[in-house]
Amino acid sequence: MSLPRSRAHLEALLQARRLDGTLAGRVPATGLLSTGLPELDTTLGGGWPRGHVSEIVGPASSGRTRVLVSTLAAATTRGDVAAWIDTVDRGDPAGAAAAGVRLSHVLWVRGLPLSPGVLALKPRRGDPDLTHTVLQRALKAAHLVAQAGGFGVIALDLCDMPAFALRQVPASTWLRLHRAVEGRESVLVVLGAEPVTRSAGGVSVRVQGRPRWEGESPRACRLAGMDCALRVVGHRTSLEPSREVQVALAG
Amino acid sequence: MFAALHLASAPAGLAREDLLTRLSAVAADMTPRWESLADGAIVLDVSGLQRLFGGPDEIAAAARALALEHDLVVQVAIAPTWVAALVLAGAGVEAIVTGRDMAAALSPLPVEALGALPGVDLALDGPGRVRRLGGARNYRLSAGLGLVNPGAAPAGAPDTPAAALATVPAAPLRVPPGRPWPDVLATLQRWGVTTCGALGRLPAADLQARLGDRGLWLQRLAVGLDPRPLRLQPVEVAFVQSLELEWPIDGLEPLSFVLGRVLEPLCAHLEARDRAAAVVRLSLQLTDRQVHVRAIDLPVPVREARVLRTLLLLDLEAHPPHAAIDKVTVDVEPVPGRIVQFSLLRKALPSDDQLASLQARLTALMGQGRTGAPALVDSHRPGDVAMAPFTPSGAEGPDGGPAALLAALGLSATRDAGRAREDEREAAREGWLDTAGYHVRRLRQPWPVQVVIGQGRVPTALRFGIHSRDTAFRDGAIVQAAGPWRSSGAWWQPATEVDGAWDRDEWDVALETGAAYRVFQDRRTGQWWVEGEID
Repeated sequence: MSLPRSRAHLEALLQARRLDGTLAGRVPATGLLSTGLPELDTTLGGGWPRGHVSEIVGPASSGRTRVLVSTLAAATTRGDVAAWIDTVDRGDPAGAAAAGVRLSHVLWVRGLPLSPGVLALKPRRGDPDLTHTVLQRALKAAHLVAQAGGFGVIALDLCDMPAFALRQVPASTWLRLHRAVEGRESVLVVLGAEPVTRSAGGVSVRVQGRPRWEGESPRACRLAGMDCALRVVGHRTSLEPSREVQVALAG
Repeated sequence: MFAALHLASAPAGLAREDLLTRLSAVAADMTPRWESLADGAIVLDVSGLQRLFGGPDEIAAAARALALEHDLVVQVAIAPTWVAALVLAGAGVEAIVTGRDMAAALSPLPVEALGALPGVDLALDGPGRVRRLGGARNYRLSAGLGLVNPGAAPAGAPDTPAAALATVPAAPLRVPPGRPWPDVLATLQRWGVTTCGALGRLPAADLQARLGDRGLWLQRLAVGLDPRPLRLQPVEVAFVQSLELEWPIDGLEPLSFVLGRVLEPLCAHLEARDRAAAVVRLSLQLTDRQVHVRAIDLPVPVREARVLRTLLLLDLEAHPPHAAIDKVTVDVEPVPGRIVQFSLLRKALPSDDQLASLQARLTALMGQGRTGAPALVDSHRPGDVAMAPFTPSGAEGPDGGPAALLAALGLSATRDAGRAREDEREAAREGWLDTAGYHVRRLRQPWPVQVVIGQGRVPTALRFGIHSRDTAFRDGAIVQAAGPWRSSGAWWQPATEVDGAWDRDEWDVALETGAAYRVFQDRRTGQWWVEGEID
């Protein structure tokens, strides 16, 4: 049996048992939302799929936040409203405005500004876990915004969350987030160091970048932008192999 | 038909405010259409009251009876225009004028009687003062004057007041500016024009040529023409709903149901009056006889019971009452209902009441002041930021016109549309051109670090003092550094305050781990800090 026929047969069996909740084709795609980066849009076939949870992942200083800001700029320029769930309050509105984000169209939800030292602490048994509390609040805020509807982009920033805290989040929490945006016009973009969740129709974009410097000596040198390599991984609706695209982010 | 109530006598020692309140109560008992025009005088629109009270005589009798209930004695005149009614009542003439008899009714009255009208001051000072033909009783009309039997006056005769009424131009006139009026009255006195009838019979064009707009305006009043429609007093309706509970309730869940019962009729009342709540106030009478009061200033006028209940419950979650609840009272400050006009050229946005509810939930979750739209601050302080109310529908922006429609549809085919977007970005970039290619993930409270300084006073290594594998802030050697960029400001303030002075050297550094940071050295203390991660 060929692969498409096998897949169709499997999906039919799941639908018969009403276990098709995670199938990408169950909810019709309601469109695409531009990432603000033409090269990435081309790779994604137009942009982020609406009604799904997608991810931007990458290590520190890879340019992942700048990619998210590009998405926010593209959405707000078109007149969409966006929500930015800033888990530990790391946002920089001046930088976002410089990248073209219309701040009046951004709902900024700021979590507690935890310091790097607090975030690195593993709580002992019985101690209050501040990191866990902050993460739970951010997830609930994202859920509330997704349920309210009307937002073009919902950005959930989990970059500074330690891996042990993310591992404690039950799978049902992520599934509830998927359900909240399913069939809506919103795109929920999760920003993190490693992949944690993605809905069936969503995409993961892995960012590998490094700062671009201009000038030779330290006193004549300046940070000019980021050189990023973006790789789309895990696009379940497409059978094409993942592609990589080079993007130069500059002012 | 209009009825004018002129106060003849009132209890001694009654304050002016109390007097006006009683007189207003008399008017409000009869009709909602009334205006208080002068001290002790009120005009009522009595059209349509015949079914309630009967004819004009019965209406006048009812007004007198109602006034007596408030210990007031009033003189009542009824006429087709409010000016005629007011002048007659002010002169003490308790007449009922129907049809086009206004000019005839006003004809025997002295011109000074027009001084009862608001905006007209016909009182003369000094020796030139005209003797008031005072007193209402001197001018009590009788059937002999033709007021009761208007048919007695030949309507077609050119020298009758009715004919004069026809000659007065009917074009609306503004209230003429300028005082004093006594000069007009003195002129009329010199001409031998002492009554309203004589004034009404004067040729309008000649009168205007000699006395200007004031003379013409006075002539129109003298024949009983209204200078403007009646300005009705707004009906004050209290939007209050309360519910006394048989058993005290404790907790928000049972209160949710009670609030629903209170808010639903209240919102129905608001809707019936085309009003919405601008401020909603909740008063909870507690079992310890204290009253727990919460007020919510709504971002937009709301009259949906579900939204108001959610907002009140979320507020009570943050500020719960300290005892069980005996009685629930909700009152709102009403404003006119909103009219929302959707645009074909604008993107559909979440409704304002949806956003209000969402923001209330988010505020309850994240804390006060942690939700809103980011706003830039006119400051050079690094990382300075403010929060603004998130009202995207009210925010002005370039989202109008065909270019915006094309942009909203994802079509930027025309050069203008593309240029508009580029222009907007350029405007946004102004002042931050150097940072548009990357983003700084700022630490709201900078983290102290140790920096190793190498040759040429260039940082060569960075130590965070954090020993964990689960952090992005890892020690490492600096492979690239750019700086220092000196920044200082607010030197007139103490450095210890949050918004105090700053003086520092900033560096952008990249570590061998691949991470890049913005660090700075405080020039006063020499301490190094990490301001944020470049990403």
